[in-house]
Amino acid sequence: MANPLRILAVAAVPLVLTALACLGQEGGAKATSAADVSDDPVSSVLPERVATGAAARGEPSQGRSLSQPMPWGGERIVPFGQVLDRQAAKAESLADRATRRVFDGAPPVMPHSERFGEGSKTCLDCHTEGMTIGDRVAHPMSHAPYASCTQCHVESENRDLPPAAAVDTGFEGWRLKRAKIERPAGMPPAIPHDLRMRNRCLACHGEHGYPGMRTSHPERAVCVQCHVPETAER
Amino acid sequence: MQLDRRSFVKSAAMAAAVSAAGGKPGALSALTASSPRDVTWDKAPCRFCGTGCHVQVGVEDGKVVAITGDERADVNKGLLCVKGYNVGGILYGPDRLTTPLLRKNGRLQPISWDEALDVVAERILADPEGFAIYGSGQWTIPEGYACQKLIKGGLSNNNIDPNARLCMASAVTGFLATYGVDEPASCYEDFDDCDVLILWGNNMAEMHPVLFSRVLDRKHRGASVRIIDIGTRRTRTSDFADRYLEFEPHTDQLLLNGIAHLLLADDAWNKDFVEKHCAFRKNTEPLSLFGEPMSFDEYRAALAEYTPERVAAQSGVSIDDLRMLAGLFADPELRITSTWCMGVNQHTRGTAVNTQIHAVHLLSGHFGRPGDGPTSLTGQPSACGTVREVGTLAHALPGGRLVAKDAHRADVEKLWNLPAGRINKVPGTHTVAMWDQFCRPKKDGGDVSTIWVQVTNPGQSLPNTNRLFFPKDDLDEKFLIVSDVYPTVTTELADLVLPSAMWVEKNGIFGNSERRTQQWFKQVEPPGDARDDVWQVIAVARRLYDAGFDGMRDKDGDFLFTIRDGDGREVPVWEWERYYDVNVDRELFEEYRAFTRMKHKDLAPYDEYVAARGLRWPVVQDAEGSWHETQWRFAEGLDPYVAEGAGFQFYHSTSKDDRAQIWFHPYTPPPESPDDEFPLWLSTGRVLEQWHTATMTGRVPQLQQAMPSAYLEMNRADAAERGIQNGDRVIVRSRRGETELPVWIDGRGEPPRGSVFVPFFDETQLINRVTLDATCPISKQPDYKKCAVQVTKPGV
Repeated sequence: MANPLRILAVAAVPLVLTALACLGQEGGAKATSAADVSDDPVSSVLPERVATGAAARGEPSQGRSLSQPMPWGGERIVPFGQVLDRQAAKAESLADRATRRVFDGAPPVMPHSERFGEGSKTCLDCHTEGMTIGDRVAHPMSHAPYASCTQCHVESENRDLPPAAAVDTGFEGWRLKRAKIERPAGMPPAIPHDLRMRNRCLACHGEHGYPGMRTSHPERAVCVQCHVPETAER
Repeated sequence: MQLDRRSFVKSAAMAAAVSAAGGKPGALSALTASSPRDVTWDKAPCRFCGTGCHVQVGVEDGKVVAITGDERADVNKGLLCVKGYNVGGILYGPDRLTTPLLRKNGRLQPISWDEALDVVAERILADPEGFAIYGSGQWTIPEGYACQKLIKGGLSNNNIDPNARLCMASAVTGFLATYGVDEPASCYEDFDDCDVLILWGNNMAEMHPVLFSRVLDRKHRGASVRIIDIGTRRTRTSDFADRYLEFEPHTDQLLLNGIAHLLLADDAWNKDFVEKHCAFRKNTEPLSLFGEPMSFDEYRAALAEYTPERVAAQSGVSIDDLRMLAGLFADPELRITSTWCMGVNQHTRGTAVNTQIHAVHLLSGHFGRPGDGPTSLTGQPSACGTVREVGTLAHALPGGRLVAKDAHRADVEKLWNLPAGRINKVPGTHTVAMWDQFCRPKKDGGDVSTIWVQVTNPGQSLPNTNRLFFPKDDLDEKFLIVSDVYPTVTTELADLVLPSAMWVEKNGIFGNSERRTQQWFKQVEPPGDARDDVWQVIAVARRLYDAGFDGMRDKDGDFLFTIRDGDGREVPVWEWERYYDVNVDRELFEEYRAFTRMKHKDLAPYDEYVAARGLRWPVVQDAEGSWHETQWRFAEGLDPYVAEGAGFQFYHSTSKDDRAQIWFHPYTPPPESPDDEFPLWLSTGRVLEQWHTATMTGRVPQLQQAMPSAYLEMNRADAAERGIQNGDRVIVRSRRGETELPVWIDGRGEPPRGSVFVPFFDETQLINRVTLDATCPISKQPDYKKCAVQVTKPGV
C-alpha cells in the first residue's frame, strides 16, 4: 500500500510541469508578453525569452535549411518554453531516410560513388564525426565502427558500369509506423525504433543528422538516461 | 497548443496517474499511440554463402518485410552482409514460377501438377538407367536425402551429382586424402584467435564477408593480426591485407612446395608433431585418391628441386616473401589460420593443392589449437550439410560411404531396409561427364537421356557451356526437367519446369563451412502452385510405386517414403494437401541421422537443432542426456572421440595408424596456358552483391543497382596496348566460345598484366561459353580460374 503523502508529492510534480507546459505552449513563435506572465507566479521568476531567426519573423520553424540558425540558437532557453510542431519536417526526414533503406533497420545505400574515398578506408574520414559542407551532409555512423563498410553499404547505383534495367519487386519493406504521440510537454519521448546498429544517437538526431529529427539538446551526452526504448527486445 | 482549463485538468490527472503507477514517460505514449501492425520474427540461416550467418526473419501479413542479423548466433553475432540484409527480397520478383510448365511446340505451357508428375514418371520408366539428377549445394539436407534415396535406393542408379562438384569436390578429395574423412577439423573460432590469416587465392572480403570481418574488426580494435593475401589479382581483400603476394596462375602448387622445402632446409618443421601424428604419401600411377606411402627421406628428396630460386622465378613471388611465409610457419608460437576457396578448388590440380595446404600446416605443426589450422571455406550454404554429408555424388552414399564398397552398400541397404543388391555398385557419372553425355546423341554414347535439375542453374554455371549445355537445344531425344523458382538460362531449354518453394517458404536444414547444421521452419506460403522440392521427389516416387515399379518398395514391400504420424499411421505426404500434416523434414532427418555415426559425423535429434542456432558435428550426448557440439576435431580434449592421452588422433587415417597424411605432389602445368593466339589468362568468379547466377539477387533492386552487369577487368597497360578504354565493349574469346562485355579498368579488382577477370553472374553476358571444362583428374572439378583468351574490340 503506497504512502498517500508520497503519491501526492509525486503527483504534484507533473501537475507543476503540466502547468508550466501549458503556459509555454502558447508561446510558439511569439515572445511572451508582459500580460501573459503577470498572472503566473512561476514564469515571473524565469528569464525572459528573446526570439531570433525564424521565430523573430513570426514564422514556424521548418527545421530544414542548414544555413539558417536554429530557432532557438543564441538565446536563453525557457524550460519547456517551446514545443515545436515539427511533424512535417520529421516526416520529410523519415521519407528521405527510407529512400535509401530497403526496410527500416536495413543498412543504407550510399548515395554517392564508392570512389568518394577508396573503398572502406576513407569512409571514416567523413562518417565518424560527420560533416556538413554547404547543403551536403555526411551523417555520422549510427553504429560503432566496423572495418569493412562496403560489406553492408553498397552504392545506390553503380556509376562505372552500364546502368541496370529497372527491377520490379513485390517486396515491401517494413517501415516503422508511429502515431502522433500525445505527451505532456517536456517529457522525454520514448525511442520508437530498435537500437540495433542505431546506438549512436547523434548520427540522426545531432548536428549532422536529419533536420526534422534534430534534438533540441545535443549537449546532453547520455541520451538513454532519459529516452528509453519503446519497442520490446526481439 | 492552447489548453483550456478542462483539458489541463485532464492531462494533469493523466500525468499524476502515470506517476502514481510508477510509469515511465514512455508508458504514457503507449496509452495513446496506435499499436504497430504485428511483425513476427523467427530464425533462419541466410540463403546465400557457406558462412551460414543466422538471420531473424520478420513476417507481417504473410510476407517477409524485414531482416536482422541474429545476435544470438555464434557465426555472425548480429552482423550480416548486404546480401543477407536483402535476403527477404529474393522471394518477391514478379516472375516467380508458380505453375508447372511443359514445352509444347517450342513454348512452355502451363499444366497441372498431376500431369507434370506423370510426365516425370513416364520419362523415368522409359529409360531408368538414362535418368540422372543434377542437384545442388543449395539443396536442404532433406531434399538431397530424398533424391539419394529415390535414385540410388529406388532406381539402382548412381547418376546423381551436384553443382558442388564444380565448387568443393577438390576440397573433399583433399580432406579424404589427408585425414581419411571430409570437412574441416577447425571452426570459426579460429578467426577470433589467429595471429596470422593467410588467404590462398580467395577474395574473402567479398565472398565470406562476415567471416572476414571477424578478423578485421579484431585488428581494428587493436589486436595484433597479420593478414596475408596470396592471389593472382588485387581485390578488395588485398586492400585490407597487410601483405599482398601476387603469383602467376597455377603456381600455388610451387609456392606450397617451396614453403615445405624451406621448412625442411631450415630444419624448422615440427619434428615432434610429424613423428607422432603424420605419415608421408605420394601419387600412384595412375593417380588415385589414396596414393601410396613414402618415407620422410623420399619426401625430402622430392622437394629438393623446389628451391626458393626456382619457385620465385616461376611464380613471381620474391625469395624474400617466400622466406617470410616459411618463417611464419617455422614459428611454433604463432597461430596461423589458412583459408581458401575457389582459387584452390577450381583448379586442374585442385586435389593436389588442397593436400599441399594441409601438408604445410601438418609439417609445421600448425594444427589443432584455436586459431591454428587449415580452414577450407565452403561456397554454398549446404555443400557440406547436404552434398558432402548426405553423399549426393555419383560415387557416394550417405554418411561418407562409397557405392564401390560392398560393406558400405550393405550398410545402406540395411538402414533403408532394401533387398540385398538393390544399390548399384558402379559409380555414376560425375557432373562434367553427365552433361557431356546429355549433350551428345544417344547413338554417339550419350547415355544420359533425362536430367532432373534442382536448385541450380547449369546453363549459366557449367564450364564450356557451348559443349556441355547448349547442344541440348538440337537434341529432341533429350529431356530436361528443371525445378526452380525463377526463369533462368536453364529453363530456356527445359522441357518441363516445376515451380518450387524457396527458403522460408518451406522447412529446411542447411550445413555450413564449419560443420554447423542449422534448421529453420516455414514462415510464409510459396506463391501460386509452387511446392517444396522434397514433396516433388516423394510425389514422383509415389507415381512410380503406383505404376508398379519395384524399386519404390523396400524389402517388406513398403513404399520407400513411408512417413508415419505420432500414432504410427502412415500419412500420404505425396498428396500436397497432406504434406504438412507431419514435419517431413523431421522424419527424413531422423532417418538420415543413423547414417552419420560411421564417420563420426554424428547429428543430434532434429529438435536439438530447432532450439539452437545450429550445432557443429559430431554432436554427442553426455551421461545426463545433454547434447554437445564439437569445435575442433582430432584434438584431445576437444574432440570427444579422441582417446585420452593420444594428443591428436586422426581416427580415420588412410594408413590405419591414426596418422594424417603429408602429401607430396609435383608441380603439373595447366592444360591450357596463354599463347600467341590467346595471350591472356581468363579468371572468373563472383562479386559481393550478386550470388552465383543472380537469379535471386538480380531481382533485388538494391543489389542489382549496385552491381548491374558483368564486366571485363583488364590491366591498364594491356588495355592501352589494344587501344581499349574504360567502358569500351570488347569481345573475350577462347577456343571454345566468346562473349561481349564492357571493360572496367581499375575497378573493384586489378588484374596484373597478362590476365583478365570476368564475374559469371550476368545471364546476358555468359562467360561460361568461354571457360575451360578440364578437371582435376581425381576430384573431377573443373578449373574456372585459368584458360587462355584473346580480347579484341568488336569488328577487329
